[in-house]
Formats: sequence, structure tokens, C-alpha cells
Amino acid sequence: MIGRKDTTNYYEMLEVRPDAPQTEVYRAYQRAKSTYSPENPALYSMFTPEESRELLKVIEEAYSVLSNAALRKNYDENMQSNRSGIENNIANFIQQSNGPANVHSEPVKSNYSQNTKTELSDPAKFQTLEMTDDYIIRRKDSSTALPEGFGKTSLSTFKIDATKEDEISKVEHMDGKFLKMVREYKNLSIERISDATRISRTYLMAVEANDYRELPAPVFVRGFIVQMARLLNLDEQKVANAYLQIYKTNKK
Amino acid sequence: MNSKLVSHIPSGKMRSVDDNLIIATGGGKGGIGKSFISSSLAISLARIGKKVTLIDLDLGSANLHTFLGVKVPELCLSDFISGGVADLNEVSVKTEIDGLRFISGFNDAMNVADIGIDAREKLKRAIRSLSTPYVILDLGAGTSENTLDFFLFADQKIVAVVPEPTSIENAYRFIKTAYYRKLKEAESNLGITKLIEAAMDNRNQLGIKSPSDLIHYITKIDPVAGARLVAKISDLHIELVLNQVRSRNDIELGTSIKSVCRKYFGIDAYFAGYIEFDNAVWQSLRKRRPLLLEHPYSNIVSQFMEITKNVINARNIKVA
Repeated sequence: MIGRKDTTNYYEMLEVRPDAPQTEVYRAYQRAKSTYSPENPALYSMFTPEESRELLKVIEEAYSVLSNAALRKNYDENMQSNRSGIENNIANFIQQSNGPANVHSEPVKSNYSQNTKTELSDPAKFQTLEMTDDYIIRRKDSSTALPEGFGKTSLSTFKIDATKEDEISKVEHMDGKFLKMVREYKNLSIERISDATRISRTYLMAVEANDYRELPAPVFVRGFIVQMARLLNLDEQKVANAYLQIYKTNKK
Repeated sequence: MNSKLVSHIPSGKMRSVDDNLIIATGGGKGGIGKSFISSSLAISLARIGKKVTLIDLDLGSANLHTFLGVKVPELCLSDFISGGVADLNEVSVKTEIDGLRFISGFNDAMNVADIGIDAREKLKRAIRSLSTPYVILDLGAGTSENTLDFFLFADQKIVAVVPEPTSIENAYRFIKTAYYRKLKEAESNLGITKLIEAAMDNRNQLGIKSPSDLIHYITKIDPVAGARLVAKISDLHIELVLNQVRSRNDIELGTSIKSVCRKYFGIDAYFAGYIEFDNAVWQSLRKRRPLLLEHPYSNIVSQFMEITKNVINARNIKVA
């Protein structure tokens, strides 16, 4: 499924049933993250580090949709309508060429058409054929799966609030309080940021509480802020410079 | 015929409810405990009152009798293959475990290379007709044609693996080889060999990197052929058994391998269970006594009972 990682169903990606409760989705997400971490010995001979990073991205994306009730509902509805479409198409194909659909019957000649043969015999035409599947929501289309009025980060989805967006765009004093406000608005927990960045929760909380005495040397703090800002879809350099300025002034 | 614990029949399988359930243990690498798993599985089934025949199909180096603590039987598979004995049931011998019969592998000059397709088919028909409702095939290491053929023939296919990189790599290689063999059979039956060849010739341009990519692509080009191919491949489901587990992380590897198999091959894979590393295993082997009889109250006995139930039901172990 390497090549299908961009087309796979989010439930398949996390290996949960479509009716799985949130607790199960969360457990599956944790399990999938651990399975597809590049250092897992069960992985390296089948997936390259680059492929495992790609898989992890899709896993994050799957969780960001399935962990949000509104997005999940919307996703389920899209999946259901698309699935019905493709199933009908396959049934029609079978009906037209071979009579009633029965995939368990004895082998019959494929309806692999002459046109398809011609097309397949030309390598140039092969390159124009896309690996797509209508009943699966493609990764690149997943942003379109968001209902109107919702935004997303790489780890979460949130309801867009014009007032908040305006406030965020105007803030100059980018301290811990500001980061906390953006994090909560964008529906991200300290735990998820800690999981994604490997920054300890203690430091993340100290950053947000402007508790500069608990923070390490500036070089490390800059790294923390850059990573947090990136996850929050903020201008990482601008936020890091502003935070470091406040940090240095108050640490003295 | 005795009632079975379950009547799990993989989709697409031509198997009637009166047929015996054939379970094969493979895994690619040598020394990972295939014979230990096969014999312990057979003993576990016999201990819950099931009739079982255990067959040593490690054709190159048959020594399963040692795990059972029985002498080398006078008759073996080559007596049946050569036609000296007409009924395979007659080659099986009783063991000290009630309900468990044993068929020895090739104890003479005949070896794996001497078995042709006809002999293999004859043996498969005879195995399917054995009088016990459960049959367990202990396969040899490697990916020889005979080993793969019997692996694919089985209703439940166990892949044994130990939590070491070399064993995991070999297990994947074994599954991959079995998968492509299955695909080959399916494509020839469905008349889509050219379609697959064309796809594989252009796999780089098409981004086909795994078997599931290939099937996905075939489905796109020809939905009917794709659906039938999926149906043909769908009975290749594997049950993973992790041997010599030493830690919690080792157990989690079972879940990871299962997930990788599902994503890479697009097949049903189950993590049937694990067996803890225990020095008692080699100690009992040295005594030529089955561990499950030597230590009937050990953890391993309950671990095998769990594996047995999961294998025949095709389900995952519940990992806390």
C-alpha cells in the first residue's frame, strides 16, 4: 500500500472499524505511530525511511479527521456516497459483460478490452494513467473534506473564528500566553505537541506559563518555539524572535 | 467426523464443512521454532479432545518425531509417495498423546527434490482425506516450491517469527514469495497475465511499489478483473506466531508485523499470539519430551492454548 498511502481510507489507515469509538481510534492512532516510526525493526525491510515518514503523515491526517466528531461525520458521509457509486459501477461492469456479479464463481475470461490492451502496450500512455479510486478519499483532496468554516493544522482541525484569526494576526507580543491561546483555539493538546515534537510537557508548559526560570538556554528555547509555531501554522521565525526577545529581557 | 471448534472457511476456498482443517507452519528461516510450534499446537488440540494428525513436511530434514518423543516410525511419507502404502492413514502412527497421530517425513534417500507435481497433488488429496478433523503440516525452512505449495494449500497458514531483524526479514520474504506464487496462479486462471506483465513493466512510472499497489492498479484498469483477483488472493490470510518473546516491546512487534503485512500486501494478517522465551524449551527437547507434557502447568501451555484458538478462528490475540 506504499503507493496507495495517498488514497487509502482513513479507517484502513488506522486499522479500526468505521464504527470504532473515539477511545479505540486514539489507541489505534498511538499503535500506528509506533508501528510506522522509522526505528521500528518490523518496518525497515519493507518501507524506506522516506516511505515511513509519508505513512506517518497520513496517519496524523487520518487521526486529525477521525478524532473530530464533525469532520468524521462529514468524512463518513462522503465515503458512503462515493463507495455506493463505485460499487454500482463495478456491478454494472460485471452485469454488462458476464451476467450477475459473483466474484466467487469459477474463473471466467476477463473483460480486459482490446482498447485497454492497445493502451497498455504503449508505455507513454501508461504514464498518463493515474492510480486513483473514487471510493477512497485521496490525501490531496482531504482538505476538501473539511466542512466550510473549519481549518486544520498538521495535527488537528478547528472551527475558524474570524475574531480570533484577526486577533492572532495583530499580536506583536508573542509570549507564552499567546502561544497557549493559539494552541487552544486550534484544538491541540500539550500532549499531542509533546508527542509530535519530543519536547517534554514540562518545558511546553513552562513556555506557555512564561516561566523562564524553568527553561533551558536560549538556543534550546528557540528550537522549542520554532517547532511549536510550525505546528500552530504561525510564522516560526517571527514568533521565535519575538518570544526570545521577551525571554531574554525577563530572564535577566 | 468430530465437531470442530469452529467452521472458519476462508472466502473463496473450495472447502466443505466436512473437510478437515489443515494448518501449516512456515516462516522462511531455520531455527525459529516451526517444529516446536507445530508439535505444541497439535498437542494443544489433542489435549482439548480433538483428533489431530501431525505431518512432518520438512522434507529435507525431517525430525519432528524428536519433538514428540517418538521413535522414527517404520513407515514414512515416501512409502506413500512410492505407492508402497496406498492409504496415508496407514502411514500415521499413534503417539503417547491421546488423539494425536503422527506421519513422519522422508527418512530415506528420497528428498524434497524428488517430489514432482503429480506426487505433490497425490499427497495433497490424501492429506485432505485423512480421517482426523485437524491436520497440522510442519514445513521446512526456505521458500522451495514444495514448501510454498503446501503452505498455500493449507486452510490456516501460520508464519512463525522470532523478534529478531533477520527472522522478520525472512518472514516477509517468505510471505512475499507465497504472495507472488498465489498471484501467479490467479492471473493465469483469470487470463490477465498480460495485463499484469504490462503493469509490472511500467511499475516505476505507475508508482507500483507493492502488491497492493498492483491490485489497486489492475482494479482501476479493469474493475472486474480486479475484483476477481482480490477474491482469488483473499484466501491468503496469515496467522503470525511470535516465538521466543522476551519483553513487552517484542510482543508489540507482532502487532507491527501484522500491520505492515496488511498495508504492504493488502492481505488479512492476524497476530495469533506469542510464546515467551523459556529455557525449558531446549531442556525438554534435549530430554526428547514434549514441553507441554513435561511442564503441563507452565505459561507456555496457556500461551499455546490461546494461539490454538486464535489460529483456528483466524483472529488476533488481545494485547493489553
